[in-house]
Amino acid sequence: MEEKTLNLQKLNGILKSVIKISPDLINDKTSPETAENWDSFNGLMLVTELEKGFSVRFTIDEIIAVTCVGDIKDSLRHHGINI
Amino acid sequence: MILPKLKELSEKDGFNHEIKIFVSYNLCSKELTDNQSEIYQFAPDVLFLFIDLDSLIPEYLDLVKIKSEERRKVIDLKFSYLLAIVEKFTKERPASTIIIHNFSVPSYSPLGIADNREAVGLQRSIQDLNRRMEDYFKDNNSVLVFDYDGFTGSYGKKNIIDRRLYFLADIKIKAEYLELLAKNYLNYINSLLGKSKKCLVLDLDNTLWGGIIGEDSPSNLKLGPNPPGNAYLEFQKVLLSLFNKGILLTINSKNNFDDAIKVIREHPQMVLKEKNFSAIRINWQDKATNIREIAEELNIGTNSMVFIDDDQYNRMLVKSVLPEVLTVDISNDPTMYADIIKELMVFDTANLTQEDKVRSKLYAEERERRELQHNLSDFNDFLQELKMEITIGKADESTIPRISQLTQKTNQFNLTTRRYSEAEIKSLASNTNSAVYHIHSKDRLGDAGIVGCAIINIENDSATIDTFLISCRVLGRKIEDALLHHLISEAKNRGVKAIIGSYLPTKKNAQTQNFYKHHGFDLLEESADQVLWILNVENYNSTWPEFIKININ
Repeated sequence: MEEKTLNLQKLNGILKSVIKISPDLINDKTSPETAENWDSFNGLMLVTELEKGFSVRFTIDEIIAVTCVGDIKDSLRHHGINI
Repeated sequence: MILPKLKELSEKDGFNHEIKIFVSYNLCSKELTDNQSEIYQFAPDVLFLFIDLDSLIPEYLDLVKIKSEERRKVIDLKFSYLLAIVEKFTKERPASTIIIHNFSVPSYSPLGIADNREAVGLQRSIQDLNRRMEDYFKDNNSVLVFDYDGFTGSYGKKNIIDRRLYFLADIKIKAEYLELLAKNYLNYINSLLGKSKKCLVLDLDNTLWGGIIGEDSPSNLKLGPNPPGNAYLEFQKVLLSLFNKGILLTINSKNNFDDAIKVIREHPQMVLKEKNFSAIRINWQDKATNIREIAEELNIGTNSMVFIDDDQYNRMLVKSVLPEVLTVDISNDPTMYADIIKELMVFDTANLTQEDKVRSKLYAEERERRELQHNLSDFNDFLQELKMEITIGKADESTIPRISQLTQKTNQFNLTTRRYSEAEIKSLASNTNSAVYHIHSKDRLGDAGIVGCAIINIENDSATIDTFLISCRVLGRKIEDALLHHLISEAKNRGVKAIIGSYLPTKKNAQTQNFYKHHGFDLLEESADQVLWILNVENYNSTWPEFIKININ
């Protein structure tokens, strides 16, 4: 399978396990406003899990800047992840 | 955020605590002293007070500006503040127990290497605060001090914090360590509820020492000052320290009793002696039955027992038959055994009496045997769950080496202990008057390969079982029953009317002496070095152990 698809699946898997959201409801606009379980605490858990899953480390500015799934993808791309 | 973890862990433990727990993290003094606040209204049975150094003494770094004398005063003041909170709460809610954290002593002081040269350095002032809490609450039954400094130290003060999460959300502990903190909390809860474990059930081979009694001579067992024997030695020392605080030690081993007890009594490096064990089960019955017997003998609940065994099969069995027993997943790495026990955190009680400390000794002294009923029904369920699959076949090129090896090496479940070379097996296999069978076993845990063999000689309508053996690591799973059954069926098909089985006693095969008797054979002849049993094939009507799937090659 294509690297990009795999990474996307990985991201959806992490979102599903932390935010408890079904992958078919996830899009770039998904945010704490639209996802019920995406509170500030789970937001931080998400950071931890993403870092583990993609072997990257976000700066505190990047963490603060994230407002939706699209932002997460941008951050990951910034760290060289093809997604 | 620690509460969900705590809940998850305690449910995993098998009991749903019907007590109210509140974890307070850095609550401001108003909430902790106001009768109307959430925490008072909730009236928890157990209140964990996790107050951080940063919130109690935000001016920690400023302590550098003042003299030792004044630092002492600051600490006095902070200590009285803590006392006021705790005392107010215990007065209003006398039924609650408070577990208060002590403070993680910072590894940094601006005074650097001069810190411990002051009468009261910065680090020392926090150590003093911890000491004062300990002293003050020592005899207070409703306040216990949790050694948070020890906790952060054991996992690494720098390691457990993610500074980004700390600055973003005041999170002091990474998620992975939060679970460990919950485990520490649970230890307190269990101890308050009287759910602490009381008894350790220990395997012998590759657990208390390295090596297997049935295969190695006592002098080859790994136990002593040299690696890897030193790891087992250390493990035994830790177990002895638990015995000395009152935890019962017991043995649950598949071995010949005489061989194993000899090692315990005579091996010069044994730290644990026979007198340290409150109950001893060294036999060939399944380990779950042994645990039940030990519980009954000591009159304790199986839910207060911890089972330690290096063998995955035995652990699976006990987990499935006795889920209330804490079965510890020790790896096959003996260097970790001591640490695994130290980190279990299940043997604690908040107060230890002198009686507690000698209890294990009394039990051990009063050890006596009672005949107990065996409950085998659950054991059969377990075997069923294993989804065992057995293949019985005749010896051929590919299996002859293993068959020969089994006859050379198997001592315990071996009726005749006749040793055969590959060439001899080959010649027996090609002889039309004899048959050489091998039995292969696998289950959902894995493939055990060829685990037994039998040789039968047939002449007209009578047959003699020359060799019958099963590798001891698969004993007790009815594999031997299946092999014998197949042997008899095949002989019957060839028109055999009588089968003779012989038992040649050795030092190691005592457990097989009644094997034929249990399968309907009658005693034919008995002398000191040989017992002969005979089966009238007509009368044989036993069936397959039904939970084993059997393939015939």
